[in-house]
Amino acid sequence: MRQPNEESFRVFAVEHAARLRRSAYLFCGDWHLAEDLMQSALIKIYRSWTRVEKDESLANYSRTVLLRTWLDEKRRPWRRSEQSSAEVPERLDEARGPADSPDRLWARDLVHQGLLRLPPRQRAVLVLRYFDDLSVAETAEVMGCSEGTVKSQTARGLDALRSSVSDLVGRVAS
Amino acid sequence: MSEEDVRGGLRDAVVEEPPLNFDPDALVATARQQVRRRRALMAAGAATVAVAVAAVALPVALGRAPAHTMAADQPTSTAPATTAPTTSAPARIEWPPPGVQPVHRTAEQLRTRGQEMSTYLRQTVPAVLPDVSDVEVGEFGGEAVGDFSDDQPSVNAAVDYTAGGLRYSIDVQVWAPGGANDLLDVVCPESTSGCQQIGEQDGGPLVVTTESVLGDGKISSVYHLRKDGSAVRIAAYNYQLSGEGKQFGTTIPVTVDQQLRLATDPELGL
Repeated sequence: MRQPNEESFRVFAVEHAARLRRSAYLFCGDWHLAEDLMQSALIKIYRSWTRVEKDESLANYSRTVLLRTWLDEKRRPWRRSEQSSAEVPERLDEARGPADSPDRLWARDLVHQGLLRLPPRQRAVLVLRYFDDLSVAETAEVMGCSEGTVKSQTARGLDALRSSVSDLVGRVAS
Repeated sequence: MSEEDVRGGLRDAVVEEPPLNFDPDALVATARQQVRRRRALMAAGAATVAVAVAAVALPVALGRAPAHTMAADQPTSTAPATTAPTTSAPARIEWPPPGVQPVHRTAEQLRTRGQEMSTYLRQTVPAVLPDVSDVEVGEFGGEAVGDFSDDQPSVNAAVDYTAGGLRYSIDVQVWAPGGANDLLDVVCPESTSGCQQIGEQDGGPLVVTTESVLGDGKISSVYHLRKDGSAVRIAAYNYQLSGEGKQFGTTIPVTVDQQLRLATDPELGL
């Protein structure tokens, strides 16, 4: 890669590393694995940089690469296990802002734990739609599927998430 | 729970993120190293093929003529060499091929196709692997066995068998056209001990990777990257994928030739 290309890649990597790691963490629930996924995704982007550098949807391309990197990691039989059974908070976090009701804040703590119980592509669609705030069309582009699939996966994912959170709430209550 | 609660929950989940000690220089150095290694491996593969090639004898039972080439020094080959195509493999694989038309399939279509391929594998695997016994072909699926979603890019199934008293597995993964566009980027640089193009069949490159995992675990994967942008991977393990307490064989009982026969089989595909 030529030096100007490499420099533009560095700028991109620095600018997007934190965002990619956060998304990876929401996918997998482990900050160490998230960091590895982010690094792997950026290395893959580096290899394609001269081809994709001018792409207007470069940020979404990086999301696609990250998502595939994570899905690939999950398919490996020796993959590291995800932290999907972290402890459910049993009491409210007093440090939260006063604007939200305690019940609502507690529910929010459960959202990520609930998310980690969902199948990977449902997890991904919820992260892309509700964390990255992507449109249906953008999410479809990132996931490499149709808009109809995004809509159906979102609906199913939300239903499953609600059910998962209810189950976690039930476990704490009992 | 509203959509706003989901947004808030996801935002809150990353509030306490650990510090990011990101070093772009180190990342670029690693990336450069991987690019160099990949080019070197590809060049080595091309040279090997150019110097000495031997065709893989394809199964008579499948009624197909051999068309691809492979390196003559495949250590695990048991198939006799037949004709010797002399075309050398390209130093760099162009993948995905230009003009790939993505194929979209519903979950139901994928399920049906998976069942067809499982049935086919039950007949074919014992013919391709005559020296093994107790072949069990699992159900195809995606994220889980039997689990399919619309537009899923690939499906896979495990095939278990016995050789020398131990159980082993083969993973058969099949990508639809357009679903494997970044496959080569994913596969080759991450292979821990080798990634080599060993020829091509029907205009599609054949790639072999080897990996060491779990201490004594070994995986040999053969990929047929097909001209229509689809792909098939036959991954052979020296252990059984499912089950507790893995026992590792000293070698993988399946040869690269046998993997090639399955990977290039036109009956396997989406």
